[in-house]
Amino acid sequence: MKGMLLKDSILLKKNMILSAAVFLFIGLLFVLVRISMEHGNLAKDEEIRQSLLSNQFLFYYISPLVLFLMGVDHVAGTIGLDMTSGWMRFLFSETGDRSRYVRGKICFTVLEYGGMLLIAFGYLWLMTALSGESITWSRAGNLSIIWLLCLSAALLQSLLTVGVENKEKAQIIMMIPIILLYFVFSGVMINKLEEMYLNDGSTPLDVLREELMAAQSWLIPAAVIGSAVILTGGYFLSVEFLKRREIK
Amino acid sequence: MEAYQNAIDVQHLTKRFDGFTLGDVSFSVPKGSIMGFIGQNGSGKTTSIRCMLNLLRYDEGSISLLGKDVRTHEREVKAQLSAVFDEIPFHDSLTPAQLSTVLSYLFEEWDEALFYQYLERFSLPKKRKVGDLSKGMKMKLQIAAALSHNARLMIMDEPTTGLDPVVRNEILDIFLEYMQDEEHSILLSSHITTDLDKIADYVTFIHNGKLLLTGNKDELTTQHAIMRCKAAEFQDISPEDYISARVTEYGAEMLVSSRTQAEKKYSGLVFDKTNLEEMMLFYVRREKKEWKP
Repeated sequence: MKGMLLKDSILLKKNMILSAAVFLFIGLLFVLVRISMEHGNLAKDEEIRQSLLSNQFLFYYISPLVLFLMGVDHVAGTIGLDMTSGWMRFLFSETGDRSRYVRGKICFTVLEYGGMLLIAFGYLWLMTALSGESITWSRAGNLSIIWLLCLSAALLQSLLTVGVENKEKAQIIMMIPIILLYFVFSGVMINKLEEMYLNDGSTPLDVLREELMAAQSWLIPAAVIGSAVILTGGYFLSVEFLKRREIK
Repeated sequence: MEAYQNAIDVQHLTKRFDGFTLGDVSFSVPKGSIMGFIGQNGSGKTTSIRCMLNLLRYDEGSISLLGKDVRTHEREVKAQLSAVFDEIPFHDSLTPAQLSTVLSYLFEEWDEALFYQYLERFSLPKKRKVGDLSKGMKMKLQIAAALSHNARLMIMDEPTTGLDPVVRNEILDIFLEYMQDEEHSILLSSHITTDLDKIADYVTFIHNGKLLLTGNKDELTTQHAIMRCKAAEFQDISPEDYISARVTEYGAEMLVSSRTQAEKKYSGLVFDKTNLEEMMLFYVRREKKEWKP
């Protein structure tokens, strides 16, 4: 498995550097905005400052979200490459161990996302420190939910790529539940927004924040269970797919 | 690994595809020998090899490698074999040095020093990306990797196709060196019969998914012969006595499967030694029986 991890890290070096660069760029923008809110031009305009302060929770999560999303198709990409380059044929000719291959991909995904989570917590710590606050359970919980959802998406896409033998097909299949979730989520949000707007004039972002806070108690366990189901179910299904798959 | 007589034992191998069937193929590769696996493009060589490597599921028959059933003892068997394909299976962005590190984790008996010796011998750069190597260099790299983890059996699918004669000869010499250890065996698929003339101990010849002949190369080339006659004499020769005949306006050349019998029966005719290429040529056209060059 070490060999596979090493190979994938070499293959993904550029992608990981690009993800980190995008994260740093967006993160830095938010850091600069946050500093400006306290000490720069944004501090001078109280109206803008208050508006930014009310939505500052977005500052904590957008950069990590971008980082996590950029990683979703990293491992799926290496599976696609393994298929087209002949590596998979070589590996299964020489070792025949399909389950080790799938474990290697899962392990790489978890390690990569583990690293991303550490970076995201470091960033969260920096942003909250700039606001003179600390990382609360609620913020850590929100970040963890985003992380778990993206990790699950990455795992699902990798395992789908193994199943359908094509990265692009896997991406299309992935889009179906995402679009469904989007419609369900936006439907719920519109209802809530109408309700809250009538009561106190809340904006969509207020509604999103309120809903996330309210849902945290069940969303974290749901995300953990969902990830675990995808991980274990996906593992066994992928190994089975690979065992049945004929490599031409 | 237990004692075994045949490094590869294929019995009644059948694999059906839509439009092509590899049917009832049986042959053995004795331990310590090189088997040339001959056939035209599309004859079923690659399908047979992929069945042997358990990459394709076969419909009937049995395959044992190094004395074990490849389906039930896959990991055990594969720890002892190397596979070489006609196209390099390594990612373009890896360098040979990185590849060595990756493979050292994959193979328990990976010999990095030996791998680097091969790189030096083949004049392969350690730090140039695989994607930047020429076809010949890529094949040498693949062979260097295949030879560096102490495999007892090498299964190679067209490793010399598309290479220039100098590189091909260099690679064939390496195979002969590998065979100095009598525990080692090679199955070498190719349609370049001159390569197999040079190094094979045994040959198996398949055509359109069917086994045509298999056996010791020297015995086969000695048993078979090219029988030559004038055009007028050709009418007196029974079609049952030859595989097929190349007929020109001046005369005919026929491949006979038993030189001794043919010499007795047609003592006035000329008999010449044959080679794998001629045998392939005449066997492929055996259904036509008579053909023009």
